[in-house]
Amino acid sequence: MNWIVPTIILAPVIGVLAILLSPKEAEARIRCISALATGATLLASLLLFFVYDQAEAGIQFIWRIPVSEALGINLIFGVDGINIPLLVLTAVVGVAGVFSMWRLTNRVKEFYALFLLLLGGMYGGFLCFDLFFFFLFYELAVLPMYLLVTLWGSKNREYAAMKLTIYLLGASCLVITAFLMIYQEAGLKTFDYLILVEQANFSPEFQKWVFLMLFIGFGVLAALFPFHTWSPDGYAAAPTAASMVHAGVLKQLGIYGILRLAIGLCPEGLPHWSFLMGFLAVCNIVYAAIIAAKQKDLKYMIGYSSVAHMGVVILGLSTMSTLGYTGVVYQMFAHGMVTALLFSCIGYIYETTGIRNMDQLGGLAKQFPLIAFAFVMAGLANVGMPGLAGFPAEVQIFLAALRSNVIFGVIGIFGIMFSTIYIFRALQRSLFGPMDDKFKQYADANFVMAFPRYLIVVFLLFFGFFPQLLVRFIRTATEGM
Amino acid sequence: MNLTLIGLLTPLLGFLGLMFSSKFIERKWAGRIASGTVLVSFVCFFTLWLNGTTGSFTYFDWIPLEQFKVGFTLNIDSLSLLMTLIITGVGYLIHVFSIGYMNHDEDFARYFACLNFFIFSMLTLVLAGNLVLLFVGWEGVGLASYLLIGFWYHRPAAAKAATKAFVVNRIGDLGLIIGILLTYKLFGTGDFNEINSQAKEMFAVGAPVITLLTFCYFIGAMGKSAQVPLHVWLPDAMEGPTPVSALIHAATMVTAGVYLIVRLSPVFQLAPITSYTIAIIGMITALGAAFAALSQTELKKVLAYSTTSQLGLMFLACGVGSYFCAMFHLMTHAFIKALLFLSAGNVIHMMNGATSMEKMGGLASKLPKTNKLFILGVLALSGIPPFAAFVSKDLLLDEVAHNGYHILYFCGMAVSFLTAFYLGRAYFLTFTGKSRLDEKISKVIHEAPSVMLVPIAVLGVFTVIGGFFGWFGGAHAPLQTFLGQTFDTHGIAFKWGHLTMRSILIAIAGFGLSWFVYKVKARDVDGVTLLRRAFFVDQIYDILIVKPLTFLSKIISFVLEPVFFEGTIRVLSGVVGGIGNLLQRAQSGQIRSYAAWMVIGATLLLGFLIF
Repeated sequence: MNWIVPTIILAPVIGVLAILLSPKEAEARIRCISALATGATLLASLLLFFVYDQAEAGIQFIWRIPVSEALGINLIFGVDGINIPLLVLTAVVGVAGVFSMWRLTNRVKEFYALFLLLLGGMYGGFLCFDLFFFFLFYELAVLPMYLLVTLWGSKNREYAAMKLTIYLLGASCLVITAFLMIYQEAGLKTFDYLILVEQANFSPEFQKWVFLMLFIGFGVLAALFPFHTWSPDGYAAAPTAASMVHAGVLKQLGIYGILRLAIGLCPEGLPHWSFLMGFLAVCNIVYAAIIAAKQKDLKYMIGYSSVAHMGVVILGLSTMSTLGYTGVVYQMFAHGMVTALLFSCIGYIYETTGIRNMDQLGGLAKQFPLIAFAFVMAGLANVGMPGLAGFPAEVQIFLAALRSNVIFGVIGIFGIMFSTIYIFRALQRSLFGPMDDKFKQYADANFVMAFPRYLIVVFLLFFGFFPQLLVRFIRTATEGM
Repeated sequence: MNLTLIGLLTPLLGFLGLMFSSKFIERKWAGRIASGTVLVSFVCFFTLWLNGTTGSFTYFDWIPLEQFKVGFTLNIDSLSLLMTLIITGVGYLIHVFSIGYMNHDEDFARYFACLNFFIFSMLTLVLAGNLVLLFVGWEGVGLASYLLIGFWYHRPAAAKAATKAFVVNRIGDLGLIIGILLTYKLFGTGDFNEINSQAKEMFAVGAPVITLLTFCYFIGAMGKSAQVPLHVWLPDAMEGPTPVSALIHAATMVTAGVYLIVRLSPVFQLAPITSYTIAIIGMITALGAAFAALSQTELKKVLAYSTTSQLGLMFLACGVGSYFCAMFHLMTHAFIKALLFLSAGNVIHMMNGATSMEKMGGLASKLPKTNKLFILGVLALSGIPPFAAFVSKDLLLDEVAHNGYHILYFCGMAVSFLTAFYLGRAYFLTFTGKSRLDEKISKVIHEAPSVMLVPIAVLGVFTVIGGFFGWFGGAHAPLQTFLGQTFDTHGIAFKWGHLTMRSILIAIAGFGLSWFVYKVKARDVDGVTLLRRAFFVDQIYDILIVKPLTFLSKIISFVLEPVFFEGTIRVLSGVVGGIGNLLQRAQSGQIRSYAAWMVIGATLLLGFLIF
């Protein structure tokens, strides 16, 4: 079973090469190549669920490629209970993204090549256990995003793309500095995470400050308050599939960085900052929720909603407990899918009608029943309805939060309940009520268009009804963290 | 135990089946399948009741964390069995009625699917063996209610009412979820049996943390059971189809709050402050809603406020610690209110959806059977003996007086009077007097078909005999012995006395006064604006809560976010751009300037090395 991890990494790379070798006109072939590449990674990552040895736990299926002995840089890939769910998330969003953009006619070849490159960067980031290459993959995820937004984006795209890039590159300055400090301080002449975790001995003072650097650096990527403003603009301007990956996966890469690298390498730094983390998390939840309630543009509304939900994840990190960490991974998985689904549904409405202002829509449930149903399911999952994947995650995080800081916990729960107001307001205005005659000319999703949305719905339902499967799995990694 | 699972899951299967076949299923079969599944479910629970099965059964671990262990546990005891019998029994009758009521709607499959989903969720709620599973059902019924209130979603009022109901319910859920998490923190478990048995040993009466905990539960119960101040969604919910109002917003879902309190009664008994608050809130709701019902011009809204008012009485009973009376009144109210709503449904259906009493009047001759059934319901809920609510309401108010709450008792009497009056008013305005119908409708209106009349007649039978379950046998009445297996019903018995005579007289006085005003004097549909708008609570909320929140979010989204955050970013990028410009100027391409820079740089470097 050692071929699984290489498959996940190589499938997007091969896909990109195959697309580059295809002629520009062969759009159908290019779409099929992308579907195959993402489909292969989805199957491979689902397979990991079954072949990963839960009894043994730890990092398994390690795939090591020596690069530079002198500098201590090696390509190291591996999987454990934390990154397997995130790989599945990336793969599901990837497949859904490819199918969501099936109707694209503008520069198809370039779009899919960049999209697969972006996904490749994500897989690399989640799989990689070498700081140097982690950073490389992380940057690889940012650059295609810039191009995707500027070339295929909608209104305000240049500004949004520039803002996104400035923020993310600024954040990566902090991250790379922290990595170099770790490399220097450990004195082991290696970027190997596995060696660093076991052998490096950092002083508490060093851990305190490096932790903060990593937390802020990755936090920007996860839309941490007050560094969140790049993200709603970015989502709103990006084409559908890019918003899906951006909100659904890229942000989770930031949280993953905090969980794996900041907490993993500087565990003693966390207690110094947990109050600050909790505080910023609560700011995220409340502040973004209030803004979301005022948005008329559906994409901005979901963008701010996603910022608010990232607050829940960061709140989970600040609890310093197994319960909280398990909830964090679960929430990353669930929220990533939910946000991707929301963007996907809005994307369909926007691409079809050219409108995404909820006041100009209305009554679409009659014209687009399939999309409307998926949209309502996503909305329900977003507000934490039991039976959908968000609920078990939020319950764990909030229970952990109530144990560590009652006030933050209560405010956090309040914020999630507040999300009902804006989500259901948006559903009411866009899907229900009387329908304008001008929408009669548009058709509901056909099979290809419905497939990506319902693929996510199935995952949400499955992990909402059977959370124990995923919880047990994640616990193998978060136990004792 | 397998019967439990069959009973629970059959409506779910019906829901799934109808949803996936909604495109091609025939109208006839959709109704039959939906009602059939509920009937199967009813038979299962009826058999369980006959066999006297009790116990809790865990099927699998749902969330397996040691701090947060949730099993898929179903709890069968007399309390949950009573609820399941009401849900599936009344539910079945309403499903059958719906076949007639929805016979012109093109979306019938979606309607029956949602109805089945509701039954499944409600059964989950009452059978749940722990708080989290209860919460699953709790949210499920909220969702079903949302979908069914907004069933005719193309009507803006319906879409708005559905959203309002869901949002207000979620505010209540906020309390409940905090309560659930707090329970896990305190008890380490969410299992009802464990909580109820441990509570007494772990906490003293009046312990602050228990008061807090019970308050959290109560907020949840307030939202779901439409108690002041979270009652505002229920009158608006009448935008849904009438059978939905009968099933969800009268007989079953809105009683979930009462059920929750009774289920956790050992915990509530430890919190006298909460209990007292519950009694007060219940009373305010009962009285306020009864006043509001006096001036409604829509038939369904009278019934909606009446439901709120009766739920207030049930909360009053819970508050004074008489949980048996709450459950007894819950049961009789379920029969009577379903009867009233379905009869009103006959009227509304035959009038092509018109609900305003200004367009009714003199319907007794057109709908003779419906007329008789409606008057039966009116008399029963007014508290005229020997009908069901007479026994349960009298017992309830007796208990209030018995426990020493004299002011509350007199308020309860006032509610009784008002109830008889507004129900009488609704009856006389709708069925007697001169006809105010549109001519077009007046010509074609006729009695409802038997598929709609038979279910109401069955409910009529229970309206007559329902009270006897808690009457005959005194302290050993069948319902009392049955519920006594689950919680303490000791020492409560219905007996005739001067209190009983007083409440009969008050009921007769109320009904008589309405007869005098609306029949003899034949007053038109009227109303005090203050009462018709239900004390302007909606408007007050708008000013106190909605407007300030909107203002705050406007400030944040249009001032703070753009000026503060965006502004900072623009200034920063301006600075970066400025430096870039300077650097660009430095690279002028002229060798002389490079040479000059080199000299300066070398001088500085030299200076640095020397000093």
